[in-house]
Amino acid sequence: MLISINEDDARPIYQQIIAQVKEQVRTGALEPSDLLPSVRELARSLEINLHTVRNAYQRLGEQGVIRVRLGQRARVAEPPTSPANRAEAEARLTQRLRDLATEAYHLGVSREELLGLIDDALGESGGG
Amino acid sequence: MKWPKLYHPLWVHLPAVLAVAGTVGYLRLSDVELTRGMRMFMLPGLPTMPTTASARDMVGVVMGGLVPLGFFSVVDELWARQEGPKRYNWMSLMDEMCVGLFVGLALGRVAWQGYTGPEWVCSLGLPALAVALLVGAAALLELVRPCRPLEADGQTEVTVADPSKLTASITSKDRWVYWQSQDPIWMKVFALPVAAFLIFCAVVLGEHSLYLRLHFSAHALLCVFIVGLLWGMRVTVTPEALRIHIGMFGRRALSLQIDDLETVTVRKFRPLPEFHSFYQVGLKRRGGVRPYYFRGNEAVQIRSRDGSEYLIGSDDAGQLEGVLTAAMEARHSQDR
Repeated sequence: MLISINEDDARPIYQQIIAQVKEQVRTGALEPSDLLPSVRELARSLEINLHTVRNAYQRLGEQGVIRVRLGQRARVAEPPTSPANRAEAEARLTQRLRDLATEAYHLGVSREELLGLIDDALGESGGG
Repeated sequence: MKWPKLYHPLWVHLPAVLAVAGTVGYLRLSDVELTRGMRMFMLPGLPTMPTTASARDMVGVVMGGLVPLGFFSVVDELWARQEGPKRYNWMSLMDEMCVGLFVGLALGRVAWQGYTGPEWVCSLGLPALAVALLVGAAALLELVRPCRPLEADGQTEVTVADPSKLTASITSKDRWVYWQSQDPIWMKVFALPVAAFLIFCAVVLGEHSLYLRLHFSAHALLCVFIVGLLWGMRVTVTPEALRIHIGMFGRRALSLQIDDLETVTVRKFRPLPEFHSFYQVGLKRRGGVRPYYFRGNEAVQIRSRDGSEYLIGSDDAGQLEGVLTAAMEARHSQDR
């Protein structure tokens, strides 16, 4: 697992960690049942606060990306076969896609280019 | 859960399995109560400690044969994974020896009831006969078992997945950490039942004797401590250093500055022929290389600027090599 902290990134550090773990699970760099470093270990290596890492792990656990059990190391969870709550999942994705479309419009990226970029991103995880 | 491919066929252990099953069946059916004073079947077969036992009790003794059977099945499998050309594995007869002894002793105890002939026939003769028959059968099966080498000769290169996507974020300005672990299940499979058994002995036998309670408690603690020391391996790479931590307590076994690394290569290795063990924690150099691994046969070999070489076992050696190379390049670009 590779976690990098970008000082120029506007997102808080815990969100950077969440995004990178999710990305590595999606691309297969992290596989189900793979162990994650302990909160203390990751915090010490990245020279960040323990609570920042704990917060990230807690949220990843709530989202079903990792399994966090008391007294055990966190592990990558099995990928969901279908959304637990389809309506909620669709609503979240629709909002994100609207934000993305707006961002693309203001950056001058055309519809075809944006679709191509989405297609490339999906292709990184084998079409998934 | 994906069942791993077996390289040592399980049917080689069939004689031992059949002996355990057959003897358990026989003892359950016979179930004679042995109320007379029994004797321990120790060399030279003379009475030592008088006790009593029934055939039902002896079922437990025979079931004890399953422990060495399971243990040596795993050992045989690990041995077979190191096999190039076929070699005769004498270790595969060990479980038949243990099971033969258990079966012979149990049958000898039951047969002793009402027996008037020489004592050694039951106490030594039956165990020896059972061991000879089982080992003979297993020796023949070991002779005819197929050999499935782990890799064909010359096929020693590791297929490296492209780690560039992962390593793209490694730049000289970011703080980052790469983390990889080897968490061997075999350590838990072997060690936890042993520790549990020792704790069980301390509780049960400790009721009768303070000495036994202390004795087994000390051994259980020692077992947990040793397992804790060897509970897997974590490899951490940061912009500054490569570190290896070993065990539950995270003992630092290796720390190398990225600036001190000269070359990093991916290679396959054979744990037994090259390093004489299924795991190594860098205590000794073997062939000029200090090895660290707990499983598998893929590793990253590192040469430092002072000429020292290190072999670090990895479940994804290509990725580890990619990260180390990117880290070295980032350091060099920082220096320029």
